[in-house]
Amino acid sequence: MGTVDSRSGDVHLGVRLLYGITIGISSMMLLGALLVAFCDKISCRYLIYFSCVLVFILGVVGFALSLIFSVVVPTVYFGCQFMETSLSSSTYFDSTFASLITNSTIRGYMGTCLSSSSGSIVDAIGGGTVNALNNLSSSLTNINTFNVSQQSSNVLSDLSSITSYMTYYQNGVITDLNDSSSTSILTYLSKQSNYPGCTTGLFSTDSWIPSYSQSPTYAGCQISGGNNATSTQCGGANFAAGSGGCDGCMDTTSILNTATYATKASVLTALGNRYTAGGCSTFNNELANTW
Amino acid sequence: MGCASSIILDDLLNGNVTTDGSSFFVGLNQLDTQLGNLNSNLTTIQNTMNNLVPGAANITAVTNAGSTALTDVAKVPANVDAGGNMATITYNTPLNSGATTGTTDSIFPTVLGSSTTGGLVGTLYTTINAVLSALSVISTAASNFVSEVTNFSSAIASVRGQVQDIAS
Repeated sequence: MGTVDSRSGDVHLGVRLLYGITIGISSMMLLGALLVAFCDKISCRYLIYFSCVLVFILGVVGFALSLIFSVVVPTVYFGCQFMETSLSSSTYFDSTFASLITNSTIRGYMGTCLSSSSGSIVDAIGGGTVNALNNLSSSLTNINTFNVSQQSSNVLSDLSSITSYMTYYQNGVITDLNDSSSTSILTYLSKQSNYPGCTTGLFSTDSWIPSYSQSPTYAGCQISGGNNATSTQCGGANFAAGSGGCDGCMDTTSILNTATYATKASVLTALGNRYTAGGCSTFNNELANTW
Repeated sequence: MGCASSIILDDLLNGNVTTDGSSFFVGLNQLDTQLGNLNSNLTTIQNTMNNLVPGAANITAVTNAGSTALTDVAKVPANVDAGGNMATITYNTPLNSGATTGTTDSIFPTVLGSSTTGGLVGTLYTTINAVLSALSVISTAASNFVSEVTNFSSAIASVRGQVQDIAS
C-alpha cells in the first residue's frame, strides 16, 4: 500500500500533462479557426486539421489509458489492501495462505515473522532446545569470563596487602596509636635536647625512634646524615659500645625486638650500659617504660 | 500475492534483514548447517564440561584448597572460625611513665578486621569467597549441561529434521 501511495503523485502528474497537451492543441485549433474566420488566412485551416488529428490521437491514447487504469488501479489497490489485512495477524495469515502453503507447521513458523508476532522464528522452530542452546551459550560465557590470572592476582594482592600491613604495624612503620598525646611522647623520646642531664657522648648522636622506615612519619629521626641502626648493627657488644654502626637513628622496634631484651629490666640494664652517665637514668627509664 | 509469498519463503530459507537493520534471520538452510556443526562438536563440549562438574578432580582440589584457605584466613585474628575478632590491645598511658594513669587502645585489631567485619582479613576472605562462588556457578552450569546433553543432542537432531523438512 505504501508503494502504491508513493506512486500516486506520478500518476497525477501524467494526467495533468495529458490535460495540458490537450488544452495546448485545442488552443492551436482555436487560433487557426480565428485566423480563418476573421483574418482571411485560408492556409491556417491546415493548422486546424493537424490539431484535430492530434486531439483524436490523444483521445484514443487517453481512452486506452483509462481502460488500463480502470483495471489495474482497483486490482492493485484492493490486492494490496487484502495482503495488508492478511499479514496483520497470524489468524488472517493462516486463512489466506492455507491454500498456497498447505503445511500448517510451516505456516505457524512463518506467522511468527508477522509484525504482530514476536519475530522469534528460531524460538518457534527450536522451542525448548533453543533455551538449552542459550543456556550452553551462557555457561560458555561464564567460563570465558572467569579469568584465572585475574582471580589469582586478586587473591595474591590481598594476601600481600595483609602480610605487608601486619609487618608494618609490627615494626612501627605505621603507628597503631590513635592518641596524639602518646605520639607526642614518642617524639619527645627522639629528641636528645629533652634530656640535657644525659651527658654520655654517645647519647648526643642517637635519636630513638619507633622505626626509621616510618610511612607516614609520625616520630621522625632527629639525626641527619647519621647511621640507621637496627638489630644488625646493634648485636652483641656493639649495643653498649655504640660501635659497628650502632648509633644515629636508633630503630627501637628492630633493636629491642630480640630475645636479649625480652623484659623491661633487661632493656633498662642494656641502656644503662650504653648511657652510663647518672643523668641518663631519666631517659633510660622512660624508653624502657615505653618499650 | 504470489510474489509476496515467494519472497517470504525465500527469506525463511535463506535469511534476510529487517528494513531498519535492527534484526535478522540467518535462514533455515544456514541454521541447519550451524546446528549440524554444533551437534558434531557436542561430544567435545561434553568432555570439556565433564572437567568442570562439581565432582571433577580439578574442581574438587581447587574447591577444597579454597575452603581451607577461607577457614585459615578467618582464624587469623583470633584463631577461631569465621567472625572471630582480634582481642583489644591496650597500652598504659602515659607511655613513658612508670606510674601509668590511663590506657589507650591500639587501632591494629580494627585494621586487621575479621571475616565478617571487613578490614584486611575481611577483604582477603571476600576475595577468596568470590573466586569460590564464581567457580561454583561455572561448575553448576557445567553439571546442568552434562546432565542434559543426551536430550540436548536428540533435540538438536529433531530440530534439524524439522528445519530440513521445511527447507525441502
